[in-house]
Amino acid sequence: MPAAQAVKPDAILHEISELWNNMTKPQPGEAPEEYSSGSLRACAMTLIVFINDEDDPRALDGTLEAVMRAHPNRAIVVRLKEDGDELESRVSARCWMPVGHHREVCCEEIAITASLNRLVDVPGIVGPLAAPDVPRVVWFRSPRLESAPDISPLLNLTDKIIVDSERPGAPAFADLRVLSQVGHIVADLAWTRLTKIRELVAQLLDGRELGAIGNAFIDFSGTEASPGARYMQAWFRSEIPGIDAALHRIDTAGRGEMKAIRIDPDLNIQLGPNCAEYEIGTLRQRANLPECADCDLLREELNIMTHDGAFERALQRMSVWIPRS
Amino acid sequence: MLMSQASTLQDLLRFHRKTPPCTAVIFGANGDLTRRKLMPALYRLAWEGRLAPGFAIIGLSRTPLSNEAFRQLMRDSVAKFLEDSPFDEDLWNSFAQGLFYMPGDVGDHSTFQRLADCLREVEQSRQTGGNTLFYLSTQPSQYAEIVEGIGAAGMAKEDGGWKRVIIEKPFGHDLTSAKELNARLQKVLDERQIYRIDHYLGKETVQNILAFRFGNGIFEPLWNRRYIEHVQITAAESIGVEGRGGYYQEAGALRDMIQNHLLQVVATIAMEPSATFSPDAVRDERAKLLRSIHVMKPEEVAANTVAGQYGPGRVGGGQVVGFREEKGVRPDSQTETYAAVRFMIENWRWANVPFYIRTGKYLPKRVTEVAIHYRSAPLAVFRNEFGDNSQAMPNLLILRIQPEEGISLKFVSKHPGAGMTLRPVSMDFNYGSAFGERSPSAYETLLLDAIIGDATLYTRQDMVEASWTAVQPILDYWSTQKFPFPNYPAGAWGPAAADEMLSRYGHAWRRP
Repeated sequence: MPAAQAVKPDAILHEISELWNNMTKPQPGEAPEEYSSGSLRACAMTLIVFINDEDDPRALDGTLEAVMRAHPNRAIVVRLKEDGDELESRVSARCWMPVGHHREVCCEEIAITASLNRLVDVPGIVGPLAAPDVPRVVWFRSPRLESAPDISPLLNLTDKIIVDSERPGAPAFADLRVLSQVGHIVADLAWTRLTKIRELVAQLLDGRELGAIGNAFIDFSGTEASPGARYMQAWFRSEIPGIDAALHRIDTAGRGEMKAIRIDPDLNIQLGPNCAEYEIGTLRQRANLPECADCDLLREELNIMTHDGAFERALQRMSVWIPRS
Repeated sequence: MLMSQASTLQDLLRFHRKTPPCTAVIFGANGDLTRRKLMPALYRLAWEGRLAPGFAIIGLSRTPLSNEAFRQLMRDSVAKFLEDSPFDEDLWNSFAQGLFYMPGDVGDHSTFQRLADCLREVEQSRQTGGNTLFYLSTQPSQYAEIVEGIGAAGMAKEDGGWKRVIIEKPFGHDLTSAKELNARLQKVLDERQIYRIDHYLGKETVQNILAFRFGNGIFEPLWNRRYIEHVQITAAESIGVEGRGGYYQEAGALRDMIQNHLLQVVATIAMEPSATFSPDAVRDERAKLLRSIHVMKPEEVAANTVAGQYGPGRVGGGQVVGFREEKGVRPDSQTETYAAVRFMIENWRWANVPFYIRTGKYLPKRVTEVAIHYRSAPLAVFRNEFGDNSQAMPNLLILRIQPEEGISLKFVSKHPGAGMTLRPVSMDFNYGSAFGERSPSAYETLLLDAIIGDATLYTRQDMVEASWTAVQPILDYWSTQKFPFPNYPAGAWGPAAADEMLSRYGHAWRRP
């Protein structure tokens, strides 16, 4: 049996250093000059992403690149393999030229491939690789961690834990309620997707006596309400005293997504693709609600590095917690 | 008695500031500013869901137009001038439902009565609660007349909703006219209802100066005469007057840039920290700083200022004409297209620290920046053995406002290898790289602030008067001079006299 491979953080850090030295070395005849060419190394946080090895790398690349532009970070991408005894690393840089600028901006990425039976080694590698003095955020995108024996060393590495309960196979281990109760800063992208809708509802109810609102209905399509619809219900329950907020199935065709929100006595919001049509009193208007990609949701979450009171209150009021499968 | 429960749905971590419903009345609705800046900014705010439901706009100008024609005109303008944003036809159709037009001459009193009637109708149909934002996008000579018309028609009274008036610079053309304008405005409006817009203060990077200074602990202790040797502020434009020769001839660089924008930048750089970030606390500090600027005696002006005017030259590989050859400009014009001034601030923090300001048309590149020149190290320890190059390279902190917004700190470092050779290096923070999100335009920021009632970034009358007071002796002195214009070719860094002025004080202009 071949000996287990070793991945040494010091060696990876040295590789990163070499990478930068090569990238920033002036070309022959090039004088370093203000506003001139060259690369700017940027790092405002460490983003650790767990994905399945077989996930489409192009989709993740696009997401990470878009996130880096808003939150330059050292990305550590851990690709988890079901089988084998593998542990490998690779270092690269992502660079882009901001519009109207003359100097490219670069962030580094460390890719680690690990089989599940080597997961135990990952915290000891990822910890030293995290950039010092900046926040560390972990995004659990792989459902494979569900079968991992103990992930607490991973959780303790980070300042914030992000999951997405709308994703098929969202890890059941991530009972966010428990994590939140023990003090972790947690986030669920299913909640993040609601920001624009919640903001619209808040704006439309602005100035009303909330205690006087009796009923709210959240219409959904599908056999079971999506986590997003449940979060909306929980938000009403946690923020509007005495409200009767009900989930209402309008058909079974969909995947549980919200279709409309109706609030007594005269607010009706119909949710369509990328927009909402609402009626309030005699006024009928349209609002722009662009669909959020993962990168948009992550950008929003990476702006928030504190406990999110509204989310945590809603989390405690969630009616049923059913991980999607 | 139980208090009515306020909304608890606001999520301060994630939501934008909430905006009250209102009607915006734009005077000069068919003008360039409305089409290029205001309407795209308002549409963009609607696109982002920043405006309250029912938000309405009444456009007013002399051109006879129907509501529909006005909507079409604005639609075309928004589609054309919208920057960094998609144009959404469906959203526009919804936005345009709140768009109304009223033709009228502001010289005719009946216009204001008709406007008041129109406003009442719109308020009812759009449920705006009587809140009204008047935007005067007209000739400055019409400001007082319009405000008096608003007042006479009862539209300035805040008996049902707030009433605010935004006016564009110039706020007067000298100290006397600024005071006269203000006196007429204040017969109708309280100062808190007047929003004097200086779009420079709405720029993200100008606001970032406050964050940089007062949000960090390490810079403020070094922000005074003990450590700073002098400050240079450059606002260079690489274009000429671009068809605005007639207007520019009456204004000049000092009035057009320094009296307003650049003195506001000086105030932002040099003000004391305010006790809170409330609008009046911040503006009190800005005003205090502007009042501390030394007002030059007539005999001091020549030594501390330079006026310039561009002549023909080569720019971007092509030949351009001189200012005096521009359309609408007199062939013997004495208007300055370049101005450099050495201001001194008379307070404990800044005594004897010169603030050099320069601005001009047809300079080699478009750049606006503040360069803080620190004093050299007190002891040149490398002098004897290795030469004195550290003394020649004082630390420099550069706050770049445009085009590449950011902050750089220049310091010396040892060159690798044997010996102790020093080399300047730069530590850069690039605003666009650290925050890849789109920055709102200055007009989006400022319009939203006015709707919310946040006047922090607007100029108060005492600030306007203080800045006119600082430049008035220069205007007076220059008006008595016959300058040997043109004195710099288009495409150069201004007249030689500007370099000579700094060299007299032992300094040199930075080449950005």
